[in-house]
Amino acid sequence: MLLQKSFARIAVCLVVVGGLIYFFPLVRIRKLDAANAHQQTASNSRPADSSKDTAVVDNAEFIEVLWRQRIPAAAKQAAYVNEVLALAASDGKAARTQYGRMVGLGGPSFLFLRGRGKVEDLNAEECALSIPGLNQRVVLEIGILVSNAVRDATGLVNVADFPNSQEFNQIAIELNNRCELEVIAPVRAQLAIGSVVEFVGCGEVDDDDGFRTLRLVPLQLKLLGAGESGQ
Amino acid sequence: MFGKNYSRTGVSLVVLFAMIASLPIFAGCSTSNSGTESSVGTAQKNDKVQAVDQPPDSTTGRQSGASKKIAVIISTLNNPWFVVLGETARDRAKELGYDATLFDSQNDASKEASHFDNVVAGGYGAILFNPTDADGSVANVKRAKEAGIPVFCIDREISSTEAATAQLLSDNYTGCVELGKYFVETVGKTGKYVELLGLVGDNNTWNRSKGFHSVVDRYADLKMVAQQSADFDRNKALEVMESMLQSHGDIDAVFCGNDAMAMGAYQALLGAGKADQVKIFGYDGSDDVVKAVAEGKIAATVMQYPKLMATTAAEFSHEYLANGKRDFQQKIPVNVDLVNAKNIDKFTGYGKKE
Repeated sequence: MLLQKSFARIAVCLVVVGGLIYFFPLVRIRKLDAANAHQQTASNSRPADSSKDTAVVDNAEFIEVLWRQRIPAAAKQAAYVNEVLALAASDGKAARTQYGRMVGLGGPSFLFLRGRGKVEDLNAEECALSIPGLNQRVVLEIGILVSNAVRDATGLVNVADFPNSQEFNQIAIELNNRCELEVIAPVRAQLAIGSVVEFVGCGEVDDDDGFRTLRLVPLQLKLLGAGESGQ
Repeated sequence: MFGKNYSRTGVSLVVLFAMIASLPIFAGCSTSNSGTESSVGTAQKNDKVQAVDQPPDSTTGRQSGASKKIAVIISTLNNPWFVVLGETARDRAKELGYDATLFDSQNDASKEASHFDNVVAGGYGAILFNPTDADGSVANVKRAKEAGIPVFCIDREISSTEAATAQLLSDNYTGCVELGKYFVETVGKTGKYVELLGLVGDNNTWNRSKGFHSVVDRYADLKMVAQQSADFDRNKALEVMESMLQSHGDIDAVFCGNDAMAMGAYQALLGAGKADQVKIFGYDGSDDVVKAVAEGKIAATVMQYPKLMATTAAEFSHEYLANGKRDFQQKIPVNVDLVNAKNIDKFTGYGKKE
């Protein structure tokens, strides 16, 4: 009698468990494609799962294209330094507005300029040029470069393209390195007082009076021969 | 007797059912579904709580255009600089006619996530956000975006170009390039120094450090003899600096990733009798450090403008909610200025003198 009761209890349990397993199976077999599609849908609806965006910019490739192609193309459109400084001499604000580029809230106006000048003074850090038609000097930085001028003056690099601003800042370091190694170093030994150079450079002015002591980081620097200088 | 047996059978059935029912939950742990469900669950709970004092909108309760509530979520209010940031944002939002609430994440990512759950569920129209972690906070911002709530990041960055509506970020890198130049000018081209880093998960920490090193590392005879994180915390900086001084008692300078750590370092140097020998460099422009620069106790700091950033972020949110503006620049660098003995007269705590 006791045995029958036990069998009955086990039978009831098995029936109930069987029913539960039927409605709530432990394992579902699905086609792999369908499972992948489900997974994809689920992940698309779960932005919280991705901790950060994939970088949209490959820095090494970005810098290479920027340096070899985009900057040389843009340099042809840089403003002439003598025109900018002539305007700044009478109206600094107008010169900043017309030729300057601001990045973000506050801060300096960045300038992307080209021109030709005669070396009047020279040391390890800088090279002071006189510019034809101007009664002020422009300084080319030829020592250790640390500013953001090259990155920010051309308008070709936008912080909003970089998920992480560390990558954006790395662009400034890389561009400065290239200016030192590929622009300044090849002509550094030939620079002398009296020599004439053609340059494209980037600089910044903090206020309307900043043009008086304009300093530029050379992006292109060419020493002109006697026949080319025209001075 | 029978009753006992039936109850045993019942208990067995309940246990079996519970085991079977729990299996899919354990199976689901390998995917991230569970996390999503858990946050949804929290939101639903909070919706019920919120409904007591504010009925949700007819659809989701989060139509940003209709809401007059703005949340200000700040990484920590244990640092006066962030108190100024948070309170300025809150007060400006109130001036613009919003019911603004300030939340303190206490530098804890889980607290921050919880604030976002509450804000998303609570019918807020916009979030002014100072994140705890550049990468870890992205998920929270995306969750708010999914709920139709614009997020304006202030001061600290999230590593994303699409999650936030806009990010107002101090130009820390440039600030520390300028600080680095001044460091070389005052310490010289030879010497030994230590660095106190901020929170290692924060982009500001590394932008400051890299900006500084982009200058100082160019001078081979300026040697960094120790570098350690003190989490932007004054007390921790005191401890770390004391420890550093035991093994590097001959340093010439210390570069600190924020002003709170600079004050901690100053206390440690004062205790060791070296405050006059070691030059301290901070970052932030906090009230106490601006005074310390004026008194010659600290060599320099970099002025960030928390009030400008906070005010602008509140006004952006108003433009979004009231005027329908959507074309915000994604990342907006905010200018910073070097503050030292030469120009200290122009500055006061957290900004320029009026």
